[in-house]
Amino acid sequence: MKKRVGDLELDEDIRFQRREWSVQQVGWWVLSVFVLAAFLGVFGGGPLSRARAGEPGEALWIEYERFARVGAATRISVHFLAGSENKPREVRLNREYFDALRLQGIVPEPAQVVVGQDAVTFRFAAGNAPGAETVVFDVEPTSPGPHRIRIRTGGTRDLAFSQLVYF
Amino acid sequence: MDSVLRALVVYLFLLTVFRIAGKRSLAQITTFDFVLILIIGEATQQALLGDDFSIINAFVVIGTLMFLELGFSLLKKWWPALDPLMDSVPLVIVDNGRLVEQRLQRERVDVHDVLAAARERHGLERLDQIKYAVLERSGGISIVPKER
Repeated sequence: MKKRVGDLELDEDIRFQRREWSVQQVGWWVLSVFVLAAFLGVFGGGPLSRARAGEPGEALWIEYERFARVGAATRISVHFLAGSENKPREVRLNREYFDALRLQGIVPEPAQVVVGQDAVTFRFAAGNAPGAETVVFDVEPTSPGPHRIRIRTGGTRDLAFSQLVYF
Repeated sequence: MDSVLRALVVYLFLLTVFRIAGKRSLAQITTFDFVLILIIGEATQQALLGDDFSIINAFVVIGTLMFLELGFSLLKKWWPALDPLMDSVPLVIVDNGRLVEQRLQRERVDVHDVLAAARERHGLERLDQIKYAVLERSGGISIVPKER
């Protein structure tokens, strides 16, 4: 079938074209929402991504990113109240999460790391005085999907929270 | 496997984004359009290769992209309805010397683009020397001059 527009032999399809325009209009909206969402941090690194587990001042509270990306660094700050001087300071991280990431750095450096069956324990040298301390983990997720993270320190219960890792 | 998926996802994403942007989006109207293509290519490269810079990974990615390109062109042969979906359809924007305003507007083309195409390809001076102008699927404007 040869289509003609005036003298032109042309495969014009104005009905399809109209439909294309309406789909494109929807597409522009979707694109704007996508960019806005990215700006706000739905894909990590913005106000919607910043999150906290526990409350400042408690025995254990954690700052982390709700959304992270494979291969992109994300930071988990663990704040805790260190006990008496001779008690070791330690942070335990669940093994599943540990297996889904690459550790880039821990500040302060742990004195000892024990990789157990279901948890990884980071032990730190005893500080000078009991009080609030912070350990910063810089990690790089290696597997996408939702992750459940459980962290505890010497004397506290598990603090659990979730992180969604994009591919 | 990872690289094949990467290539597939990037291919489909770019296809979608450029179909949304419309026919004119990459027609290289200005120098900046060209620069934009380069930047998009640069951003895509990271997503395609990840942190694996081995030659075999590049081969896998290139192979996958070529496979998709060939596969889709075969698919379009078997199933013609797919063709306009992926590549759009041409559109008459000057019909017998008369501008079709509504179409120009929707495709974000203006009369100066039409005149520029007429000058470049046919050395035409005025709109009334144009019989037909067609916005092609490639985003270019082709001109049929009036017979003198």
